Amino acid sequence: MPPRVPAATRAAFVASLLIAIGSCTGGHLRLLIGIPVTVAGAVMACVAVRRAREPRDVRSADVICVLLSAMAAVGLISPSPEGPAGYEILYRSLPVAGLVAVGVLAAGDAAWRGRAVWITAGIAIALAAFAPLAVPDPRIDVWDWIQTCARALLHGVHPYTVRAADPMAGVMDFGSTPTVMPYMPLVVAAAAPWVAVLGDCRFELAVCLPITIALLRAAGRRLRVDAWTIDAVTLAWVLHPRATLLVIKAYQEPLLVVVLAVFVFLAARKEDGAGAAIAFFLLPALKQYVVAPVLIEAAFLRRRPAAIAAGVGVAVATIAPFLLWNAAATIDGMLYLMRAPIGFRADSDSLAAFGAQIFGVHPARMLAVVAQLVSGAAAWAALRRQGLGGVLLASALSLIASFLFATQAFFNYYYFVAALLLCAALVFARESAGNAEAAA
Amino acid sequence: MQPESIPAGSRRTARAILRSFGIGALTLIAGGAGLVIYVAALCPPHRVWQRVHDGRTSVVLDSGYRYATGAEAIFVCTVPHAVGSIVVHEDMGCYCAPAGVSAEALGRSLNGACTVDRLRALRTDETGACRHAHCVDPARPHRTLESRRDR
Repeated sequence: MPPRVPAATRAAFVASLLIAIGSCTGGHLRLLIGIPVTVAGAVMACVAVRRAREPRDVRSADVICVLLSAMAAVGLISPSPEGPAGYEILYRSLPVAGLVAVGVLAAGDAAWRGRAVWITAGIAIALAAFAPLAVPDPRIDVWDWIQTCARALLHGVHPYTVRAADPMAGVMDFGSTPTVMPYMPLVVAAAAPWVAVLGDCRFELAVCLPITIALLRAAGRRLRVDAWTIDAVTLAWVLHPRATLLVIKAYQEPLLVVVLAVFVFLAARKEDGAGAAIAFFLLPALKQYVVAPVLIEAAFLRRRPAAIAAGVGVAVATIAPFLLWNAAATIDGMLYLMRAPIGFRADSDSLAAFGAQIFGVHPARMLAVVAQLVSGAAAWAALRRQGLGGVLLASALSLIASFLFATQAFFNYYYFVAALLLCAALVFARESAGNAEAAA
Repeated sequence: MQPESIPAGSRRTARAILRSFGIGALTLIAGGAGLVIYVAALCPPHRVWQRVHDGRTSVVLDSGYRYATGAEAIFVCTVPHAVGSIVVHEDMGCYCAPAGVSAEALGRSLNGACTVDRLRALRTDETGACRHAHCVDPARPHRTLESRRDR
């Protein structure tokens, strides 16, 4: 039987797995299974809030193993990477190895558990590493924009003054075709060295996976989390059904997750330290949707103005050079997604899309912003005494609410939420050493 | 090998691995059941076919993110929706294909029957079965747009 874990850890872990499973269940199953399971994940995150506030209690981790198996199975039917046959075989072998690893995690001894986890992680890392070679042209505008703008930066041209070719050649129209790179400057600055050396920004995203694993495991050891939970967290991360697709399509969320892992690693030693604050404040410098979490972290650090100043200072420093270079173009790009007339995406993984398909109601874009701020404030009010775990869980809840009511939200958005919840689960398991090992 | 000679830990691990695969199989069965429900009760192209067949509407498609290009014509096609080799029902959709392709040739490639709706579709089209140049790709009529241009 699997060991016992703290109730808050179990709830946050289950929420993370449900969010990952639900957001990766797309296609024809999105409305019937995907969105309901994602909403169930949101409900479990609320349960985790309650568990975190209660006196510490331990419960069986059996449900974690059950959901890990289910998540691995979802990986079996996830969309093809559309690469060569050998890559496809490796891609499908990951969930199979994962199913074996989950079995070993549930009942095996520590040595076999370690082997199973590392073999599975090795396959996932290999998949990410070979992704740019296996799928050299992902035919998605995210990749085109970052490649084009990184090359421009390398040639001394302001990245927000160039325009990438539309890989869809006008065949697809979502209401607005970007006229400027709609991402943050740090994304391009971080991609540029990889484009210069290896010719593809996705190698940067590929290395995020092993770095994230190493940081999360090190953070777990710093927090004196039991080895079983650290292995379970590792397995949960490498078995995310669409982690490889994120790299193939050049979505930037792996960068956010690696920065989050740095934050947890540093905060594990000093929760309110400047280093942790800098890492957390870099999140909105990578993706515009991270708003409420920064306010939550600032509230957490309210007695450490120096740490807040350091965090804000570094985040601003990632934008300032581009603003000084060409303020109008930089602001135009950073705010493009907020100002452009982008149409409602009825194929989103969100309650808004669900409502649109069932009732024909299209909510306003502002609803997602309001949902993020209101839920973030409510979650923080409930979790303000829970320290690092409270920051992570409240941040996750604010983003879940935002995405559930967003006019567009896809699995890449929820990838970051799943990471926040998994980190919260890890933190809530702190100082439980011996508990799980004894039961295992 | 006698069961007694297998260490208890190994047996427990083997059972847990089997259980893991069992849960995986149940997950896939649940997904399959969801697909059956989708095809039987929700399939949008079949509902369009039903509405057109019953004379409740003449509009086949007036939404989506795929538009016919200047070099494409739009065809209204009735095609069999098959799960494996079993034909479940008839679907109806607006398909875009190069303007040089004949309705008969497209129908043969889809195992269905097609008629030309627009030889040159415009986004301003307010009449016909396929409005505002909306269409789907013949190769992947059921493919959703996920992971395309999702930011």
